[in-house]
Amino acid sequence: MNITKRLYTYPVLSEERDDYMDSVFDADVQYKMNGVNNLLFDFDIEMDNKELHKMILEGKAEYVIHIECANTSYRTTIHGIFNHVSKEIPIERINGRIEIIVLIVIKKHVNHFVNSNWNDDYQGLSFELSKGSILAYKNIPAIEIVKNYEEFNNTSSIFKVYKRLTTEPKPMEVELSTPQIGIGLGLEEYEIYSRFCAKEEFQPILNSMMVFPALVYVFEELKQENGIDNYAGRNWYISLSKAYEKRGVDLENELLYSDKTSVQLAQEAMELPLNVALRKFADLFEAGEEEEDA
Amino acid sequence: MKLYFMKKEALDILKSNLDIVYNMYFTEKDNKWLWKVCGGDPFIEFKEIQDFQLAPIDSDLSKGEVEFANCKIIYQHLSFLTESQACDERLWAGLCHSVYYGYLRKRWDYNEKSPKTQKEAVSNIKSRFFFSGGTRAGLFRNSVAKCWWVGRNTYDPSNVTNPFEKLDIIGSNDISSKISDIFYSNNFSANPIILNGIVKAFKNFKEENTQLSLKEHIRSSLQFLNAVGGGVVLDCLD
Repeated sequence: MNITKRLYTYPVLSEERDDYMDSVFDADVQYKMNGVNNLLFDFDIEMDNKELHKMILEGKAEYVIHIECANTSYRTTIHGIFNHVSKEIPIERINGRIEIIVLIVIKKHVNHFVNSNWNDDYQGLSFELSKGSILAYKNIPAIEIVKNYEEFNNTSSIFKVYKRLTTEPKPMEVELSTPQIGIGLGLEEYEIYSRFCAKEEFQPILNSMMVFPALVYVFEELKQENGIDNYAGRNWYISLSKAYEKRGVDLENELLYSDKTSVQLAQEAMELPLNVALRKFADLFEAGEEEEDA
Repeated sequence: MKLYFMKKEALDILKSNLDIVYNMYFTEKDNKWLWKVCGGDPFIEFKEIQDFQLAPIDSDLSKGEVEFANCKIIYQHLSFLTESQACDERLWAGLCHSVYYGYLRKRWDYNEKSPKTQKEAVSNIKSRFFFSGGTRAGLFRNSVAKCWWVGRNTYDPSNVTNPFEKLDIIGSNDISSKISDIFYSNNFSANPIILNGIVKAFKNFKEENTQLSLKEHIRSSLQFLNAVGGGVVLDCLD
């Protein structure tokens, strides 16, 4: 949403208008990748009109940041009395042009809106304004999100599940010396896994059970002294590093300087597997329960 | 069943030569002709998922009822797509020309009718099988993408009894026009707060048993809401 070429029936504070004298309403937006999956926006708002500020502190008005990506039906608002706020948006949620506008909006119906910084034309007048009316706005230049990586890659061939010839139950094995990260399952587990691994609805749950713990171990190993050097030549490390690079993130930086634990890094790399897996549980088992009742 | 997306080069070739190849959609029962026109395999395999069927076209259901049912079916089975993937023309052109080629030919009667004029046929193929008029237009006009996006925008996972209740309230009559008026013509329906308000209005009239006319009531109300949104931030209302 942008505000262009509008005529209001009352004074509105904006650098494009002269309804207010000696008053500033400005906003700045910075953004960068935060981890592999999220774009972090930082907003800074500057507003020096004392009476508008008082309305905000009294709960009559508030700052509203309106963010819209029409291509992906993403449209949301952030409300508050802050001058600085951050917002994380999952990168998979947006693509192409993002429009942002920062506003001051009325929260409750106001009977008698006046401000001493108005242009002389408005002196002596007061206005009745309903909830949602715009008191000030600042258009932010549109942001273009261009993804230079292929979004339709099926989750990495970084991993390969293999069969271990054991009949008694044994712990799952994780092998890092091979071109792909090997996840070794005993005969019985492998047989059950094979029956379900091709079915889309079970993949998030299987990934959480197997790929996630393996990836935690991988990141732990990489964080050890000489960890990166030990594995840098492996195909799986190169693929993982490229996947991060395409998102504009340096894997080595994440491992060495980000203070993130291996558990965090693994979940980010897998785009929060637990959330997806638990939702799948709900879909599979709550839908099933309803069918039984019916 | 395997899901394919279309290679960008194949997409470009087809779209820019539709005025020459449009007849193929009417005459060719299967999609083998694409290999010749595109100079090779036009598809890349994306994913393999469990088979599912779309609503039957040759049944008692009207075309509107079929589209309505497909909004639920397609979103439920393809809900793993991210919004970023789902706004990519390659994906929907891929599906429309591979796994759904035969279905769409039936849906649009290409197996029975001949094109009236080249211009009209090309324009229709572009909007039904590809994206035409930009990304947003593509999302809500492409035959399959439209169903996914409407399913997605009306799906409420917290409504355990009927996650598609909003879609049911909107109703299947005049569904194509409703989709265009509610979701395509107005960006504001992307905000669930605003869409909930619109659906609430539909619900009120439904409970009163008042029939709503698309042109007289629905379209003009949405146009009015859009005008109101010029003065007031709709997203801030509840």
